[in-house]
Amino acid sequence: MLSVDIEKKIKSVKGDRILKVSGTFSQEVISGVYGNSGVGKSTLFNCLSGLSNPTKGIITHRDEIWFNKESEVNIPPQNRNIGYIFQGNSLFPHFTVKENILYAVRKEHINDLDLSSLLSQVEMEGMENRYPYQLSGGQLQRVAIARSLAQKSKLILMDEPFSALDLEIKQKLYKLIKFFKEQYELMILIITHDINDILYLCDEVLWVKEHQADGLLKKGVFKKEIESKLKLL
Amino acid sequence: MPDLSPIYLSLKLALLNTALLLLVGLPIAYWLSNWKSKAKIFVESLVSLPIILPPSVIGFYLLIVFSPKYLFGETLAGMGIQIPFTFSGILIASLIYSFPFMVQPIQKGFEEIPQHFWNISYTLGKSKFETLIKVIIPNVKHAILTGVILTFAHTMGEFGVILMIGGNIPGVTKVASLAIYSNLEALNYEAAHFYSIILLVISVIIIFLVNLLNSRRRKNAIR
Repeated sequence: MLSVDIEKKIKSVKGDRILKVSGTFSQEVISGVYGNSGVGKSTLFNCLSGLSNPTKGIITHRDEIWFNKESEVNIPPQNRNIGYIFQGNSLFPHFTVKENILYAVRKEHINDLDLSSLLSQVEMEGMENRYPYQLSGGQLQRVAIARSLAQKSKLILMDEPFSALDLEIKQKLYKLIKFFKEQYELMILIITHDINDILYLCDEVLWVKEHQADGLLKKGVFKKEIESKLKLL
Repeated sequence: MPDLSPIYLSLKLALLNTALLLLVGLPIAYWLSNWKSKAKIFVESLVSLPIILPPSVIGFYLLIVFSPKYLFGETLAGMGIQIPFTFSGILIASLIYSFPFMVQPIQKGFEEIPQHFWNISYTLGKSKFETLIKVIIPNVKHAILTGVILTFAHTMGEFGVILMIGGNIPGVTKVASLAIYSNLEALNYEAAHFYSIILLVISVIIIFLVNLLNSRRRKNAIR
């Protein structure tokens, strides 16, 4: 369970805005974060991962407080153990596939890693010595997922993982994400502005409208809201 | 066979200068790339100053600073340290004169690193130092190599500032460029040609290396 009740000042071309988000993401499900571009979805992920600090509020993961402005608690990103898959290519260009994955493995887990099995799970067997520039968009995302698994993260944040991917590759990734969620009992949060991603993958949705979101919607409720919005058009 | 000591001296000066500037320039370039202050433009201007400042001006002020007639030079002389007309003198002059050639490309390299490289590494549990060493510096290596090559080349060709602070003492401060000048003055064209051709070959190799690095970088950027 990941609880968020934060405010964060964000700068945009239209001037400063306040992002206000509250909600509780359920454990071991796939949650979507939906909203138009520039509403603060990535800023929310940066706050969750500790890369950026909220102006005020609280973030709690399970029983651990990650951030509390009032009591000055702020767990650094290094200690939150989040698998963060950034928009676009989130692999390091100077590392091979193998090196990118190994970089994420903590010393105490290095002996547990079965690299060939991991690569085969993401259908990347035999590609461990390739560099990121030698991979397609879908392959880059699959290696990034493998890296998060090697990191032993139980919480994975994915920022627009399907943008710029064609439908076939997208569907392959959908299946892979669903499989890993079941297999490793992961909690996955996905930022997207594509309704299809939400409808196919997510069990619940945080809908950020005009920099604000209050609580998560069940997929059925989200679908109805979207349909009624489309009827109005 | 002309005296080879000017060539050795030039190479020694260029290697020492490049190594020292790399040690000093790398942290300064990193600091400048991250520094957010209104004063940054003044510091950057100061770093760039040797590019446009005539070498004779740098040489002249260095002579003043290290002259035993003034406080600093007097203090050094009191400690038995002489800077003008020594190898140390031309090394100090080279350090100042070539400073921007090392710092500027490396600073630009650091500035081109996307913020998400840092962020990804932090979320993977790595510290700032570990990220710098294992992720950032390897991705700035082209810029570092460019800085090293440019500094080396610039030092090999230094003339005015070395003549001012070092004089033209054989085996001590008479580098290849000064040897060309001396031999030309003495109408000894054969020796001048000998030193010139060596500097020419070194320059061609260096330009080739810089262009090779840049073309590889462009290829990687396209990928």
